[in-house]
Amino acid sequence: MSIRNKLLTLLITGFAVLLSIFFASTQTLNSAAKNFTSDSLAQTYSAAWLSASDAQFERSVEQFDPELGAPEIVRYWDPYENAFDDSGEANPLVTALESDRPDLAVDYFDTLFAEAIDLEQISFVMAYTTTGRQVYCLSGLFLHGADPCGKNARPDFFLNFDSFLRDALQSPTRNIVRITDTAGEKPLSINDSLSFGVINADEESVALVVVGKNLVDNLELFSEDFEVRLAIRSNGQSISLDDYYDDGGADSTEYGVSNLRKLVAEGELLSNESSDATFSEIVTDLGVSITSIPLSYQATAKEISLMIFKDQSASIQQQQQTSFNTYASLGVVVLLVIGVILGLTWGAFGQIKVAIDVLRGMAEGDLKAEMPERNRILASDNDEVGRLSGAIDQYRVKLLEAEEQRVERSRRRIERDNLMFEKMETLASELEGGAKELMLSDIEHMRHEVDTGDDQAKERASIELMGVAFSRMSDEVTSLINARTEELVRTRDEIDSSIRYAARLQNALLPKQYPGDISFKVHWRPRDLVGGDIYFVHSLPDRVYIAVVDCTGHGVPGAFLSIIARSVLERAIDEHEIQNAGDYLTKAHALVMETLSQQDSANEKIDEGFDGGVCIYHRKERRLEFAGAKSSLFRVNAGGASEIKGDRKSVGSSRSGGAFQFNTHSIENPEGAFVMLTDGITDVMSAEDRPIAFGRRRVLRTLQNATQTTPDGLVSNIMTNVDLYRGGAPYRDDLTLLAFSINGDDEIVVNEAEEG
Amino acid sequence: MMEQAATQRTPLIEINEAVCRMVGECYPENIQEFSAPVMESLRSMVPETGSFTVELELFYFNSSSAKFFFDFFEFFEEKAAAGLTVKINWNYRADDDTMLEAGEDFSEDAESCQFELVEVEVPNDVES
Repeated sequence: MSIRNKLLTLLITGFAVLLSIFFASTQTLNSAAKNFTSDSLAQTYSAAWLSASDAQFERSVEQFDPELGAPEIVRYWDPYENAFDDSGEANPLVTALESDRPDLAVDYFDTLFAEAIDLEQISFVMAYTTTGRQVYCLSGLFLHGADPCGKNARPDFFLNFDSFLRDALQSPTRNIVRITDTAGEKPLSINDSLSFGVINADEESVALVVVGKNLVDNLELFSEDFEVRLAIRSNGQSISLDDYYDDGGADSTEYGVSNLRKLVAEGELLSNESSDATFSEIVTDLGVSITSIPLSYQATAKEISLMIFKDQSASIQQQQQTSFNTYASLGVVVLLVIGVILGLTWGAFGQIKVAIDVLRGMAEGDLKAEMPERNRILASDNDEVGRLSGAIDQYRVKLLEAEEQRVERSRRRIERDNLMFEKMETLASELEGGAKELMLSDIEHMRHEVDTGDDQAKERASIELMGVAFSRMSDEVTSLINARTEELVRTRDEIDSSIRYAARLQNALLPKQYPGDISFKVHWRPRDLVGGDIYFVHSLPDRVYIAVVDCTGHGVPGAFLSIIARSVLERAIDEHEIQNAGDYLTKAHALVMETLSQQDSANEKIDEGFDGGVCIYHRKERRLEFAGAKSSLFRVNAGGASEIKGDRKSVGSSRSGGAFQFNTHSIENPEGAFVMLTDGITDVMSAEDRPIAFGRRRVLRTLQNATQTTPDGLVSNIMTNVDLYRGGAPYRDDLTLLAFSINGDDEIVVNEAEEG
Repeated sequence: MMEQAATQRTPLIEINEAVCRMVGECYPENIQEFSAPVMESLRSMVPETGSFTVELELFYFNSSSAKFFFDFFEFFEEKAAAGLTVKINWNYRADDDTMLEAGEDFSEDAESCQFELVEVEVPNDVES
């Protein structure tokens, strides 16, 4: 059983139970309402009947009551009064009855009752002696049922006459008196009656009088007033109003009530079933209500009751119509609800079935099946089925994306593989012999591998391919690199040897010999193998030129410049004229300007040149001259150390101007030692974050503190201090430190220069 | 706004419309590569009128850089001559006679600029 059918079964069962409960409670309610209606109907009829009955009783029978009756009649019963005639003081009726002369009494009775009988105020009068002998009987002409005074008449009180008599004599008593026609010709006569005794002067009862009024008139009135048909049930038999008429209308229809016999029989049955025979029931199939009430106060309904038949067909029909309407609308609602729920579940479960099919399809790889559009009434994207549908759509979209990614991955893999094969083939084409064979067989094998099996197998093969390709290629590349590296090393070695050769050349340009009358000590150290620093010593017979210069730049460019500088320093020497240091430097400046600027075709500002100092020692005059381009000459003698500053211009700089004249500083009879240096010394920086250059002041201080003032001692002292100052910091520049001292008038001896 | 952190061979440089600041050493491998962008920034940022401050604190510069600084100060000379108020503070450590002298050299050429040599404190005095 599917969930759908279970739900439906449950639903229908639930409705059935609900309907049953509703039906049962409606029935109970109806029956309660009916009981209430019946009770009130019975009470209403009862009140109406009894009051009508009482009214008639007062109007008719009761006026003859010796105690409560009409005053003009009460007088007739007074034993001390003669209301009849002028025959004496004594009541002649009482006297006649006392004296057992009924024949005499008849006249008096007639006087009393004849008129009332004629006027049909009462139906009969009977008088009995206390022994039960009838002494008088008078009844009307138009009677209903048995004639009370007929010879076949048999009043019911005959059955228990003694008690009837006793009660009546005690005080006037009201009863229902039924008179049966023993011949059976007339129907039962039912009368409301008053029975009382006639009292003599001795307070003794002398006769029993029964006055009765037939109930038929009253019943007819009631029947008309309430539009009902009536029957009186008494001692197991019933008599209807129609029984009193000859036309025997019991089978006719009156007041909408027909089938009276059947109704009466039904009423009797109900009365027998009822404990007090007081009820009101609707006999639905006959469309009539049967109400049973006591006929009078004087008897219980069980003994004698009035049955009232009322046409209820209209209300029964209405009631039936109402219940029909109720049940019909209920049925329609139930059917509708079941229908709608059926429709909904049908739709929902239909969608679920579709969803199951779609999912199954997806599992089998069919990604095209979509959930159908839902456009039913009550269908929404937010209900369960809508969400299910949405989730399946999302799932499908994800699967589609995954599929796209898979396809894309596979495409890229194929591209990559092809690239690999291409490269490997290129490599193979460059190889020879066994290596080529190996590579080609690799390619063939891998081509087969990356083309076989599912995605995963292809992916694995592709990765393997990459590994193989990489390994083959790296082998080849390694051998290639090895080859290249050898070449590079060769090249580097060549460059190195070139530079080393250049260094040898530059070294060759340095002075190899010093004049014997001057002691030199030089520390020359290019930062690289070659550099822009150079020193120069040139001895003429009468004078010696000493120069220490720092060309712009360092390394190879500096070295080039240094060659130019070396050449310029040589060319600036005027062997034949007297030349002071300033003129010499000025001439060197001019030569540098000339050499470099003339060669610059673009006429750009050339700032290449050098800083440095030159000394000329005139032997004969024992005079040392100094000129400096951004350089100083330091002098150390017994008086301490001092600095002779040069000009603040560079040689070769266009800033210095072509016409600049360097100044000459002269020292006569130079004693002590002199120190020249390039800024490689002063620019040695301390090993700090914010370093400070060693500077000329420290040079001066070092010189001042020097104990050994020979050139050797000074150079080693300064270098020691510079190295200490530098700490771990590298040299930034080429450096040259030159110290010399003039030995006096010694023979000019040429000393072999030694490098520092 | 030009900002360039210091390297081993080049100083920290900050240039905006009011201040040009350089701190550090200057001996670049290729002076042209170093100087061109600095001069370019100066030309584009230094205003024609108003005032401008140049804050320099150098520890070392080589001879190639010296030539750059000549150009540098010449640029401000021209600006100052044309109406810009230029204040140049040459900061040097008391101990650093090399930089003091360099500052003195440069200040000699300053005519329109207000060139001041400012001695700054040395955090770690290194006396030999």
